[in-house]
Amino acid sequence: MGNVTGPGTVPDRDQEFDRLVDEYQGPVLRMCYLTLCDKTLAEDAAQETFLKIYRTMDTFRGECSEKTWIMKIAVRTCYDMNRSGWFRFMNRRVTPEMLPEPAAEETDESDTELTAAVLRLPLKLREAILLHHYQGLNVNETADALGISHSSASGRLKRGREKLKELLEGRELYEP
Amino acid sequence: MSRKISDAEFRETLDRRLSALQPDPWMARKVRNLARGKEEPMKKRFSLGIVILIAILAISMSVGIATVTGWDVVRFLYGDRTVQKLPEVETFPVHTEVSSGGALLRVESAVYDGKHLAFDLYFENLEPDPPIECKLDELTANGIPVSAEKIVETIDNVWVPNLYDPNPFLQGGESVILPEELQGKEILHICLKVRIYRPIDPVYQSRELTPEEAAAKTEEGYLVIVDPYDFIVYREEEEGWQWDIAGGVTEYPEKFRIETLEIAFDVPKGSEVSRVFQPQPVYDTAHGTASYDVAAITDGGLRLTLRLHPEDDAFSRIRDFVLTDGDGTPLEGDRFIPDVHMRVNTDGQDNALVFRYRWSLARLKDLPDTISLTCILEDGEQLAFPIQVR
Repeated sequence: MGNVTGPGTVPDRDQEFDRLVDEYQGPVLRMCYLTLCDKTLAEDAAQETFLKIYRTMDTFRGECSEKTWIMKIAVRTCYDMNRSGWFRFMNRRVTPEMLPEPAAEETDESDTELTAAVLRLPLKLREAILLHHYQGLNVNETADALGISHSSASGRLKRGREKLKELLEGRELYEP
Repeated sequence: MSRKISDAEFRETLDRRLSALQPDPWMARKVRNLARGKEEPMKKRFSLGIVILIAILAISMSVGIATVTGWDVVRFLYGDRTVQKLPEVETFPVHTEVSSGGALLRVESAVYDGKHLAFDLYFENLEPDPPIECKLDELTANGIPVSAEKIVETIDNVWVPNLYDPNPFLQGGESVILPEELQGKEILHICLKVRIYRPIDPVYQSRELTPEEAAAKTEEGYLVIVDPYDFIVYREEEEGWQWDIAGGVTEYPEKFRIETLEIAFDVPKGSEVSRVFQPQPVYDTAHGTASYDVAAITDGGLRLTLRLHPEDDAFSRIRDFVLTDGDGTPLEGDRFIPDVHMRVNTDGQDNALVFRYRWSLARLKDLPDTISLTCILEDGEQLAFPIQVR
């Protein structure tokens, strides 16, 4: 996994930014959707995430992995959107029918069932599950992205897996 | 039954099910534009997300207006529902228009109450091929510039006509909180200057274009317009195809024939702007009850907040909402985005659905005597909540 380099000329910087967008736009967009439960909001959040990345990429010194850094910004951006007073009154429970119609690829009922179950997880558990099991961050990186301790992250992952198993009536994520 | 799901399977399943979430091929360019200070104009999308953002802004604005005008919006939103009776809003007839041959600008009426100015605007592309862009260049009152940040509504930053709206005209208005030095003047001499940007090259329009497709069309000699707000240019300094917002036309004067329209009119100090309607306290429907939290004219325009208390699943079956007259005929013609918000309040036991609607102040004269925020259910059933305006 590559790391963002320090300050450079504008073309270098733009080239590097293009790479980050190419590589991470999909994961960021899906992460935002799975956090915010709304396609348009997710698109707005993804754009906001990359704007923050563009503005701060010169200060990234590789203290964590590039993906952890980007996911941390995405999570924080979604968190800020969720935190607004108005949003607290929103019930954005997503039913399977509300999921965006899949593109050309074939999907079946179990895909929808699993996705809907993830969206029904409480937000804190969902974020941890998504960062670890979906984005592939390890527990330390998940904790870092969420700004919590290793033990808190482990606890949220454990409870998230249990809750998901309950929602999926027995199907469960591998526990390492 | 217990079955383990591997992380790889988990990832593949979510990716497959969410395959409709496609990356934006213009993301990097849009972000660079934003970082350089060019803001993307508000898209006229009626998705929940945008609506929510607009609603947040509208709440902030309402509270700000309440502070400025002394009108207690918060009281109507959250507490005592006593409805004030305020004077009727009377608009001052202006009936002025100017034309450059290729475009026309008209102001029919204006309102000035000592602090706030509002006027309607009608702008028409008289040669609708190609589409043109209208930019508000300058607004002065008694020779004093009214800064852009004081302008609440504008009609610029959109191609006229465009793929979403084939009408060659825009109809809207400006609602302005005046600078302190102008407040209280007996009469305002308003001068409005707009620039019209008409593309020199032939125009190719598309709602969705990848950078490669846009580049190919541009190389064929077209000015490529992407959706109603954006266009494509080649920037030599960046050696690349550049997505730009319609408002960015000012940076490429060589690509446009520019016309200037200037219109001037006087408006005397008139009646107070704020006014609150008297809706029925509670509406009974077959699906539950409803009431307006806010039904008022403020200096931001007509503002309606309707709260529904459904007793069945009706609120999950609402397909649309419209502002209608007393007979259920939709009120057409306003080009502003209705400020609409659907909120499901799960706090406590109060399951409610809130619609908000705003109407340009400059167009209040168009309102019929009775209006109604009308919800249309999926099966076509309509729930109307009429209010007597006059």
